[in-house]
Amino acid sequence: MKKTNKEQQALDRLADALVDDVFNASDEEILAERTEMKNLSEEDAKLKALFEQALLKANKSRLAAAKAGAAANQYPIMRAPGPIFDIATARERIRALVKAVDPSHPITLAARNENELSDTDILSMYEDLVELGVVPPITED
Amino acid sequence: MLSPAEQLLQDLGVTEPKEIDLEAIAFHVNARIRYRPLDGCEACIVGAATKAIITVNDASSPRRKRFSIAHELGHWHHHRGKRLACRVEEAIRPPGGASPEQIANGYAADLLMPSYLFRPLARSLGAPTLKVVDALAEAFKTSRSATAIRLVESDQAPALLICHSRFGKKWFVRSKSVPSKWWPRDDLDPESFAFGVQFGDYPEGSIPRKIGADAWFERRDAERYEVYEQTMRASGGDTLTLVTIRDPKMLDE
Repeated sequence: MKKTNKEQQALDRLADALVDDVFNASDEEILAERTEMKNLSEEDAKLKALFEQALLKANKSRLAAAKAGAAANQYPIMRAPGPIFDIATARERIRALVKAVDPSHPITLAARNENELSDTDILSMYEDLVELGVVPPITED
Repeated sequence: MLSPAEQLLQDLGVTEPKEIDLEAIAFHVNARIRYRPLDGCEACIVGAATKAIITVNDASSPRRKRFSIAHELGHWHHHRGKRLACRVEEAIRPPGGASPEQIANGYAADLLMPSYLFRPLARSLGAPTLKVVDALAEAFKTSRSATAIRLVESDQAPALLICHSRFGKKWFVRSKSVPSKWWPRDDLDPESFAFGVQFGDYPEGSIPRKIGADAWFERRDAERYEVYEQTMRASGGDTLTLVTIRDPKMLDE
């Protein structure tokens, strides 16, 4: 915003007054002022350190909560996926899922191509997709 | 500036390598980890909306599992809502490009070895050697090859890491402080100690050994300089050689 002549004149007068103050102050007064400013910056540094400590504590409590959550939600140790009776259907559904474009149901998938995966791998992936509600379970019927 | 993975670690108050708990980090970003036998890959991720399941091959080594989880978390961060046909290939780094795999690998490196923890520790351990690589790999629970790459890229000292198979050079990384004119040779020089490790039964180098720079670089003026080399065995019969430059004249552009 452009300043009016009046505002500019007022700022110029203030700047002049400040310069005059500095010129008219004794060496002792300038030294005292400097010490006061130094104390202020020391206070600032203390406050900043306190703030950072509090932030770190809050962040570490977030990590502790995540650890507790992960421990409480661990999957049981599995040697192999559970039985699915129709591997061809599982493969077909995964192929369709990879091809489908549905922005309203964003699916993330990063794995090898379906035809590079063993039946065990397909069954494992299918179980994950069932758990996420992306595909229906395949039953014996 | 912090990378997304490093920012995530800071948000969780991680101030020591041992606090990089990948299961907790995954939980924090709404991903669960399942360990089970996998035949065709090391790991994969499936996600719907904001929830994901990362499946990791439970037959893999603990460090490999950590890398796989961090890699899949990289996909979860960068490629959410996308379908990618991919494979986890640690330390395979063809020059250039930014494929989803390379992006996920970069995320994994930042998550497992964040610069704000890695650099100070690496600096405190001194000049880059395989001993330093091993100490860092132990601290961060990472593989030797991934750690060596990180160490060279962190530019603690001018160095290159060069990977060879029996058929020649596969890839290399170079510290920023090493001028690009120092391009490693494609083949292993029979005079080099690395040659004996790759083709003979030489043990890994316990200390860096001095050798003429022309054993490692094709430039005509290379014969005027000396470098230090130290070789270790990597997976698949490959070798990784840490070549360090101590002669400041080699660093002139």
